[in-house]
Amino acid sequence: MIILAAILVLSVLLIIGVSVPLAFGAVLILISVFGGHDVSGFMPAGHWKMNSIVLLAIPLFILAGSIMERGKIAAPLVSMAELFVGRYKSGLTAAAVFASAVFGAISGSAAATLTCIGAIMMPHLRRANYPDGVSASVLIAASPLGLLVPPSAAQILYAWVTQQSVLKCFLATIGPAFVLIFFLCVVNFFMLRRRDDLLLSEVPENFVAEFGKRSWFALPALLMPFIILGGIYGGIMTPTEAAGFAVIYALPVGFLVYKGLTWETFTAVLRESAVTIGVVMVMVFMVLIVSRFLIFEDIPGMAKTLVFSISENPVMVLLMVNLVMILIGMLMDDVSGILLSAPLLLPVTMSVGMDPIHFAAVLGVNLGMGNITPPTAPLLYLGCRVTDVPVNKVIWPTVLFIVFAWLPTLMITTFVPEISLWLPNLVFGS
Amino acid sequence: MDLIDQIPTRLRRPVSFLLRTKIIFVSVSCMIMALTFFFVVIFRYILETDLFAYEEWLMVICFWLFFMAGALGTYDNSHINADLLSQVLQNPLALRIRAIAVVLIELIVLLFAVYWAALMIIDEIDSYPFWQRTIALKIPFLVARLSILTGFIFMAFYTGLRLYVLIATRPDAALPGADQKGGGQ
Repeated sequence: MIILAAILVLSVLLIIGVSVPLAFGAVLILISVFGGHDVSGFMPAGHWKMNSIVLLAIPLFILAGSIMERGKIAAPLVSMAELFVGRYKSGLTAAAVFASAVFGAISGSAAATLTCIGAIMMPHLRRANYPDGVSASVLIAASPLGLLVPPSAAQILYAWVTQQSVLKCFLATIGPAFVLIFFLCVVNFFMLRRRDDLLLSEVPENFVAEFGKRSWFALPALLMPFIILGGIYGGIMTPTEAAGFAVIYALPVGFLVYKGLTWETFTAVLRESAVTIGVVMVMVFMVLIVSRFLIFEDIPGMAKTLVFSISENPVMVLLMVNLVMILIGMLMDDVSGILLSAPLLLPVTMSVGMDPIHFAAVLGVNLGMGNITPPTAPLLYLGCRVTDVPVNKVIWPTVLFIVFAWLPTLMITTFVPEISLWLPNLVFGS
Repeated sequence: MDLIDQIPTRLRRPVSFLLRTKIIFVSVSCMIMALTFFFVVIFRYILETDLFAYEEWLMVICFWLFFMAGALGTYDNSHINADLLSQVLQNPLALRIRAIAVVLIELIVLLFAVYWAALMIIDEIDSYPFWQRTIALKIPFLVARLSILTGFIFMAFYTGLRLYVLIATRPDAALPGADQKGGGQ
């Protein structure tokens, strides 16, 4: 009974606009008043749970993403992608998809990917006569690649909550990321196939020389994922240390190489990213306390019983789990969504034989899709602000991307485990 | 318009001082956090030694960073929310009532959070000299836990200021465009 009341209170407060951490705080009030829990244990529980070095990867990736965003590190990546596909019809929007994937490998954040790639690509797309709505929706639909392409702060969080290997979780989302890139490019091609007024990039006379020039300029940016991922997979650094290393590496690259950073922009970056860190970590703190009490009340067990009372068919169970995760993703951001849904839904999926590493990929795709799905869709509204395109122009093409690119990716990721597991099994053995 | 421009004049100086202090603290803390992990790697592979028990003092700094920055987020009104209702409502009166109700609910929850955090601090102080400390450097847990209490006090204070502004001084603050919520990811 108290759980139903908690879900109701949480949903109503989120819908009327109470911020996520305080909506969870209201759930705690409900638990303390009607559940008879000792309130003196709430805050120490949050402190104990959050007193973890692993969790510091989240603020560090936020900081690294912000520094790269202002440091103009994305510009050479976009230029490289344009060189390869810019000459084809719908090639520039495809370049935006590829650039989002590569930038995701650097920043580990969907919002940073959207802000950075969106701000650079949108003027190019407008100059080449690409329709505003489609251009903005491509950028929005591709931005969650930042959550799927490793390193991903969301996957670090999932691994920490469910006690899985971070490296395996990182590898599990690479396959779904490639599937998503393919579908996004195909849908993008179909949407633009009848446009005859698109200006295509000219092929440089000496392609190899141009490629060499642009590669050289992009090298400091391209080295970053190698340093981060090489450091992690080479056993040289933990993900948290790699995130710290990425911040320090981004400073000379932003200040001296791409010259996007000045002392003024740097202090502004520190202030802005600190506020984002505070907002995210206070939310993590509150959600951790609530999830501890949900586990104490055996909600994962109850969720399992509820799902199996409806159907014991594994396909139906996984479809129901996906539906719940999409709804969570539509109401919450990726961090609180993972903290809430991973401990609740993992036992359900494991009982139908899903590997926890496979579930990491399914969860990543679900929350990425939830973050661009109207009506809540934090990335959709952020994308409209970044590209300066009204929401009504973006909604319809974004829905098409969700239905024809994201949903097929989700279904393939859910029902074809090999897509997620072949790489972790290849590297670590099955 | 910034919140500080709408509050009573006598409060502006202390509020502005607190904001500046917090901004300097969180900016420096961000860099300390990144530099620490950078030097952990440098120490390990170049100097072939460990940065002794760095996690104990770093976590204290990080807790203060998280909660002071969280308070700045409350001041900026940038905590993450879904806010579906304000996109559906058109009536200015309904929008104003919604905005006041949301800030009031947030203030009540924050006052509860302050109470829970105060209970935690009282428990810590009561247990002296057998209070909890870190293993190597013996830093009392109280130091990190005080950040939670201080952070929630500041959040409640800024939310109270916003409620005051909404009710007493600026009726149009509830209109679309005045509300800067969202983002923060």
